[in-house]
Amino acid sequence: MRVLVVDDNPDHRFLTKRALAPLASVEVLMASGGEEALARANDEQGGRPDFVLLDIKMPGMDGFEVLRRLREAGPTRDLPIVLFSSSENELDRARAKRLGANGFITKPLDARAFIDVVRGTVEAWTRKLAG
Amino acid sequence: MPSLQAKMFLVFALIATVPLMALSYLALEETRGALSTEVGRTHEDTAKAAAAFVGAFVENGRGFVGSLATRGSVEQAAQAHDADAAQTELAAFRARSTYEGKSVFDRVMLLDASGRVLAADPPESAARGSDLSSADTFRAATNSTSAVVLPVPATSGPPTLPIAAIVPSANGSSVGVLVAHVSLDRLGAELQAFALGSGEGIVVTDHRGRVLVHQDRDLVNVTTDWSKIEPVRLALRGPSGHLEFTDARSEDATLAGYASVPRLGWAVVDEIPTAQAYAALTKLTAVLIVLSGTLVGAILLASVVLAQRIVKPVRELTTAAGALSSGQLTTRIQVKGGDEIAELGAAFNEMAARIRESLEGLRASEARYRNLVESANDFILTIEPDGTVSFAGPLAERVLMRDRGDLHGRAVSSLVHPADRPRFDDAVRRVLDRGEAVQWVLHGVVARDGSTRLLRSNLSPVLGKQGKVQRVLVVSSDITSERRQERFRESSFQMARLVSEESTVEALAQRGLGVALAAGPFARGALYTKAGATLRETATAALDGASGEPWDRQATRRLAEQAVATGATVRERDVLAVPLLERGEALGALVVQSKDRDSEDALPTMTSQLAVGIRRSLFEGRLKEYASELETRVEERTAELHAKNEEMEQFLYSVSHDLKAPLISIEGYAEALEDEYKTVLQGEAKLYLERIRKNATLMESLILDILELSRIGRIQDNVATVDMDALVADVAARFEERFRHAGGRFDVQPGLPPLRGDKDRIEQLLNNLVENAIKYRHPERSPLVRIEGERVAGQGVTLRIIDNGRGIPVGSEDQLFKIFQRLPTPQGMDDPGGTGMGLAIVKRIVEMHGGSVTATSRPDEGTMFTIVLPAEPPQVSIAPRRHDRANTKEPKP
Repeated sequence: MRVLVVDDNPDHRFLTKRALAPLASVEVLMASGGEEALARANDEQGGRPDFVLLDIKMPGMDGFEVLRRLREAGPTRDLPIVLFSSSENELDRARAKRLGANGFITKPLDARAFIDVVRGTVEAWTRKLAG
Repeated sequence: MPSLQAKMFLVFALIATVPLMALSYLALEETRGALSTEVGRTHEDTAKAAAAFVGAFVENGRGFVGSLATRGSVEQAAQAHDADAAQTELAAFRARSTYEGKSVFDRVMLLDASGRVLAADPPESAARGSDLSSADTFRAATNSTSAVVLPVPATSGPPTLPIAAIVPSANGSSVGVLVAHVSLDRLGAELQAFALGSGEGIVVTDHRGRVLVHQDRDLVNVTTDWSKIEPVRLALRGPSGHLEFTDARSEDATLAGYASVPRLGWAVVDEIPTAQAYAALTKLTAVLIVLSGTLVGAILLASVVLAQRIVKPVRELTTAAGALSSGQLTTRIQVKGGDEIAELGAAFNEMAARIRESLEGLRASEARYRNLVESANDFILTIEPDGTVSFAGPLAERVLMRDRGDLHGRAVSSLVHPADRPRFDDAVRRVLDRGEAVQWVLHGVVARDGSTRLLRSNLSPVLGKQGKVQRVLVVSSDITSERRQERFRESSFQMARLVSEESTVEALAQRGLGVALAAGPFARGALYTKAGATLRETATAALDGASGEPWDRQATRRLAEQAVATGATVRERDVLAVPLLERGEALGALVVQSKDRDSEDALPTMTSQLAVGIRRSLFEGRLKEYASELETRVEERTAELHAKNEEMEQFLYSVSHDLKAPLISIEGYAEALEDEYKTVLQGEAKLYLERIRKNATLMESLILDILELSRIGRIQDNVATVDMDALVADVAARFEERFRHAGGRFDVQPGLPPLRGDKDRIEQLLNNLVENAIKYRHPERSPLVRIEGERVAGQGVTLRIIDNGRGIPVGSEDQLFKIFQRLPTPQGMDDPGGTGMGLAIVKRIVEMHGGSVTATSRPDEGTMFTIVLPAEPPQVSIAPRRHDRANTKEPKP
């Protein structure tokens, strides 16, 4: 499974990647901003990601905007996307849900939390497709 | 008295009763004549009605026969010579041809074409087969196409009227003849119903005068010839009439009405004995006579009474009184005899004598009276019938400011105040026309200088030689000052009320000016009030009907300014300016146009009252301004505070968020270091790493607390009734593990009162307090926390959280709730660790609920937190509504 980690903070990128390292089936892709994230998500040669971990607070295009654009375009419409933030905030959660995010995780990420989210997302997705 | 009565009686008897009797007689005769004619006409009408009935009865019979003759079944029976069928038809015919339930026909028969009897009903009335071809009936019928009425045949039995008709076949030829006999006996019985009177009867004869119907059946015989009897003779000749005649047979006077029956030519007579006919009339006459007799008697009686009691004495007295009143004081009534009239006459004579005496005395004193008038200290005038003044007393001259020469010949109306003129003129006219005195006329008079005085006048007539009113004497009192005092009091009272009621200077000025003008009354006025350095014309007013020169506004302003500047009353001609003085300060001036100097005394009272009111209004106005300014400032400050608060919250949020990012990195790397170099790191390196992680954790909780504090901005829409028993049970469950671990106890008073608030916040509040109790527990004993509470009447709910911890140093209770404030850890005790935010959050939550929290403590014994919450939290806190931060978030650098 290819997971695209989108975060402007290089330390957070590194730590996230490190947290996911114990999961053998996960291949981590990186993007340091919104533009790059959109490019990677639509890059057919490099292989599309199967899952996106998206930081909210980024300079330029923020996580909400990236989420909105991914949900607009055909190929990424059904891509599982989980938003990722340093602090928890009910307004941000509500907005993420409204824009079609599949989940919301507070940093720091650990492998266990990630697995829970992915499992939850996949289950919800399956239910949705079945329904 | 008897002689008088007798005279009157005779006169009335002659004058009234004789013509009345004559008239009664004439009226009676006239009525009798008219009534007898009427009676005759009535009987004539009866005869006419009977004649019409006879005609209709016969015609009806003819109709019956005609319809039977053309009946198909009769034609068949005749053609077939079917005697039985014919018989049946005839019987049925007789049965149905009825009047008032009885058959009209005495008998009926059907003859065949040759004139032989085919059938008859009743059957015995004619033998079948007998030949009647030569009978009048058969011949008359065959000569006519419709039913024929024949003359009454001269037979010995009761007369009948034959009607015959041919029975036509389909082609029109005769197949037989129908002969029916109308029963005249039956007709007669019906006719007698017309004769209603006693002895009245109806007689019918045929055209030859033979009696067909009579109430005396014996006379009914076609051989009885009545054609010579007067009514029958006349009936056979003419249409109708009535007459009185003497019946030759009975020799009775008889009244008869008669008429002839059309077509048949029969005579119908309604006869009645005259005595019977006029019985009602005779009775009426008797009644009339009695009535007129009674009437005459009544009139006589009335005339006697009238003559005796009223008419004559009244007339005599009227005449005498008229003479007396026209000045003939020597008029006397001739007194005769000793009756009441004589007494009355004597009394009248005495009265006349007295009147004469007193009037002579009056005339004798005329000279004295004139002197009296001239010296009297009253206002005296005399007015001639043409309305001019003929005499004026000295006081009148003074009051009106005109001398005698000026007043004489002047129209009195011109001296009276215009508003009172109609009333005064009316009083003068009453005295002149009726000679009666008019008292208490209140009216004003206008002096030469235009000032007005109020008088109360009595007007009385001055009689001349003939007893006629020659002139009017007016005696008046000057009540001007009385009235003025009254008006003063009233105005002053009104002004006092006004000053206590009106709150704005404008309203006070407008109404106050009105009251001040009425106190004079003064024609016009204006009120000026000080507005800074200048004067403002706050109100102007004029009384209704005010006259005089127009109001010079510049001049009045100048006078007002002068009055304010000097603090004294200023006058210019008839315009007066009075300062509104209040504790020595002139707040404005009242300017009035005055015609009455005496009234001006009222003005200082008015102005000082007004000044007090104006001072108060000004003060109140200023107070209102201050209040509104203060309100505006509070609003501004509140808005600023809201903005600052919001800014602060946003800042806190932003800061905490941004602080977290590097913290996450620190924690992450520390963890990575520990994970990956666990085996490499030794001794102190390991300890340092642990310290780094511990501090990072502390910093994170600090940041979280700051974030939390920033969020408790206000109570949002989730205020509800909180079940405290359930909530405290939740909290207790959460801490159960830790209490058990420390060997402590959690003690909750059962039945805690429910309260209104945000459940999550209340829970957080309890968490923080319990957490504190555990954190700062006494090192030498197990922790004990008790929660109790009760409802407080009128205040809401009180909650107490009591622990047995270390307690707080004396005097530092207030420091407890400050942000980041942590109390020093006494020596020998472990620093429990904490952000110093817990109690700040508690305080914030309580305040958001509109309540208060206090701590009381004894060092080494424990602390008690007392929380008082209102019954209902405030709807809006001073914190602003939280908005969507994501929209205002700034990008990271």
